[in-house]
Amino acid sequence: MWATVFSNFFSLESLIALVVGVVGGMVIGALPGLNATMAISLLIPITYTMSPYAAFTMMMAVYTSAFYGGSLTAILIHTPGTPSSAATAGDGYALTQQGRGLEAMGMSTVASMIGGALSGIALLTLAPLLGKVTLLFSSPEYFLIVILGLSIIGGLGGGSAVKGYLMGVFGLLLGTIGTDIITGQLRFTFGYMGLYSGIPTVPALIGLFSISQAMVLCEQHLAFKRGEHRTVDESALHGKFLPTAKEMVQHLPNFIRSGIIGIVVGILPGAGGDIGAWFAYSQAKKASKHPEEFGKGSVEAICASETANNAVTGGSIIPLITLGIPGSTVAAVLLGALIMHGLTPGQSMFTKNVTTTYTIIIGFIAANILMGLIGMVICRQVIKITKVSDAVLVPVIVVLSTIGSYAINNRISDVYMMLVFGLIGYLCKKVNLPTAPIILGMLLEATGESGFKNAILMAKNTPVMLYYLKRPASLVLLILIVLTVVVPAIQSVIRMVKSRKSNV
Amino acid sequence: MKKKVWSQDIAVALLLLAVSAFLMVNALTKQSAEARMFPMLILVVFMILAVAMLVNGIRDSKAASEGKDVQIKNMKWEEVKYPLLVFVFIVIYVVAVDLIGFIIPSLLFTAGLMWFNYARNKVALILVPCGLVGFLYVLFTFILKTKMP
Repeated sequence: MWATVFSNFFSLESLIALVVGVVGGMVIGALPGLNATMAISLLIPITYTMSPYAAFTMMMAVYTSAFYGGSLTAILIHTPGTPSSAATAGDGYALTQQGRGLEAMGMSTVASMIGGALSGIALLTLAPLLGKVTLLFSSPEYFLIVILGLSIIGGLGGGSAVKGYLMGVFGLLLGTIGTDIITGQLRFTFGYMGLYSGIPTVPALIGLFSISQAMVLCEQHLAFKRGEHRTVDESALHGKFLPTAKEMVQHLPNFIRSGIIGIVVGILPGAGGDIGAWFAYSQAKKASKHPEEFGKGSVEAICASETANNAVTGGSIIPLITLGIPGSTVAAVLLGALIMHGLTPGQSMFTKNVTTTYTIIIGFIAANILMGLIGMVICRQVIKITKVSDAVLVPVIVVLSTIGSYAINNRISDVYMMLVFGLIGYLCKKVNLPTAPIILGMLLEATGESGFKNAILMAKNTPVMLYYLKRPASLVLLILIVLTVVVPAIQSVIRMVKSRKSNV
Repeated sequence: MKKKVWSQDIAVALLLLAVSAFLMVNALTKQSAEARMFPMLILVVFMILAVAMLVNGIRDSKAASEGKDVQIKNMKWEEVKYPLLVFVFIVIYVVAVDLIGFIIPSLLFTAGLMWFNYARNKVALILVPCGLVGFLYVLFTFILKTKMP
């Protein structure tokens, strides 16, 4: 098996995908307003004709490198390229103002590389073990997995869990559009032939994440008119870059602690790179001999947040490939890509598709190491790319989205579908409705519906709920669902009561 | 007298309720009992959540009107008018791609939208559209060997 894995990994296609993914991810991450979710949704059609391992090597490389790229702008212009770099921005920019911007970038490069590589090793060792859990699951459990996935990602609803769940259910509803597989009847197609085979996922995904983001960037129209552009203070780019061996030894506990925090936060569905980074930041502050420096320009702080946010990437892939539960928006898009390439999350990733899975994991570890090495060479050039105006980026995103939506099925109707979802995505952003649960609902609807119908058949004369309660694996999943929904609700009620008391 | 504040969530929830009611009627009249079983289940949950959103919206509006510490951030026309105008440009661009193919509309759209967004550098106005379309042509036609619109 490993001979095939390494032969796949060292193929020209994989190596090119790796380098392009790393450099592309760094550039996209460094551009405020662009993010890994958008980049990966645009990459799905481009990688469609590639082998699955090369395609995923590229997408995973973009995922981890975008987190690193985001830290560069956080440090130099106090604008996190991605939300996960927000914890880096305060200390990184303070160091830049002290003329130590290059030192901060050096630490960010090393920390991102170590965090990402550690999470890759966790992916390599933990994922096969967790994959075996899915052997306990049958159709009824897959329905519960869908509910669990939606309740987890619904909780990411940006403040309102109700809105998150609402959008998840909306996604399920969109997933029912088309021909019903069992009865052959048309559902909610309203006579439009383009909907007979359901809503195409990739154009919907591109619309929700890319077109809507292009529209968000256009909100700066008046700033464009005033000629306001991002500027980079290149005078901060001098002096020491990489930490010395002695400093590396001093930071070793910080690297390990933050790496573990990042991996665990990544595995816990619902928490992304930003939570991992802030958590590691607070723990590093507690453990530091100089906690007073945190927030005023601490290299330790950058070490913690950057190790953790890159460690989250590998961690978040573990529940995705083992259970099919994406713990973040990027992972939800990657789930779409897995399905597109004919890969089913679960035990089959470690049996039928084992060589592809391990090639992807080895590619991910290599991507993190390569990201560090390339970052050491070109991070000063990457930062100059951030000067490119959003006025230029907007039409580029739209044109890429158009060709990407068309390329999957060579159908112009898919491009019109992308437009519809672009508008839905933008309006959702303006009314604070999260879009990631919509895609997840659409992707999981077929699994959920067949699981639900099979559960009814398997229950025979027993009431379905009682049948579920009799199955140990179902019972565990039901408890997890209840905890996912109820615990945040209780926390929110406690917060509300506390705030009322403090107001009184 | 305190000013009455309305949360946009109320309007959104009412819209979603209306859509779900319409779909429910459609499912009941056009689909067999077996085909509509799962969509109906979803629609019921969707309506319950939309009602919860409506209740939250009304509660927040009431609290904000009474001057309590509740932040209501509604969409503003000033903020969305340019993005919506750009969306109209995108629709026109896609229709043009449908009618006359990818290359010429893409060149014109890229340069046009850059101009609209006050990118006035003449070299960029020529190089960006040509570079982008040229790159995509080579990528899709020769490397990925797929069709372009």
